[in-house]
Amino acid sequence: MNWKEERFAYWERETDIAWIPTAPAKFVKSEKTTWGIVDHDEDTGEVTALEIWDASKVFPAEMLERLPEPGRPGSAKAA
Amino acid sequence: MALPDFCAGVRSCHPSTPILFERCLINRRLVIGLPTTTVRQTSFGSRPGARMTWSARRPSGASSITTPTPTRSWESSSGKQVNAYRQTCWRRFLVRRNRLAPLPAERGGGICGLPSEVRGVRGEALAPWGAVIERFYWTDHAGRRAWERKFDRFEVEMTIRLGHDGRIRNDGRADWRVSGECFDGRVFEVVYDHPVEDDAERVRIVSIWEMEDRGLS
Repeated sequence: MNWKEERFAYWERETDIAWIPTAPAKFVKSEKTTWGIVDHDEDTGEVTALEIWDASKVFPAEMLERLPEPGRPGSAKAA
Repeated sequence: MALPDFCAGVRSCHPSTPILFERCLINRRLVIGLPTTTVRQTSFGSRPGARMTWSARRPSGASSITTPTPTRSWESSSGKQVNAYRQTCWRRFLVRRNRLAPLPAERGGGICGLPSEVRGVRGEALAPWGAVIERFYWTDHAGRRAWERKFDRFEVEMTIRLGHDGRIRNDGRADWRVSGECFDGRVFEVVYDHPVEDDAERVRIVSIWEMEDRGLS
């Protein structure tokens, strides 16, 4: 399977963005907030993903370090 | 020849010259448009019923930068046929424009697509930003977002190119924000850094998302 087809939580170190999918998503609309983006299912309004900016200011570094990079799902550190 | 007035909420960045504009703003969304000589009503990237129509002619001798046949057609709210044309040769066209060469007199003598405050009295541009954006670096996250949401990278890049002088300071991650409309009508926002490592020709695309449709009026 192409890595792009997988939806997994990641932390992009370069931009300090954490992305956390919360539900399957096909058609979504996005809501911009002060801290990032919330993806909603277009039909149900259910939250399907969270994009958190300045993640290192929000989450503990120890947690973020365990998240993979967006392009390299296998790079997550083992617990 | 003067461009006709556009409907409310629509303005051309360059309304005073007969040369056709390549962008306008609808509720701060960037919409790209380029009528040609054979088209009386043309729209690009707007939705059916948006009434974003205009009538204009391509100056003689100007090479076509749109597809010869409409890629989409619909009937406007006033009952007129509206055609959308996919643009081609964007890069060459825009680079030439952005290189700020004055247009010939028969084409208006100005710099098409640049707001009046950056044009000199003889059509010489006084671009405050200086360089052309030539290089786009997509972060993995932005690339994933574009792929997942099926955004055409080229359209996104062109939105940044065309909207850069009207960019908005982003209040979150990334320096700048512009919005645009996909050819399929979806409205998106993209945030990016510029310049990147003092390279004024380069932007780093940080994220992109589809906006709620807030309508056109």
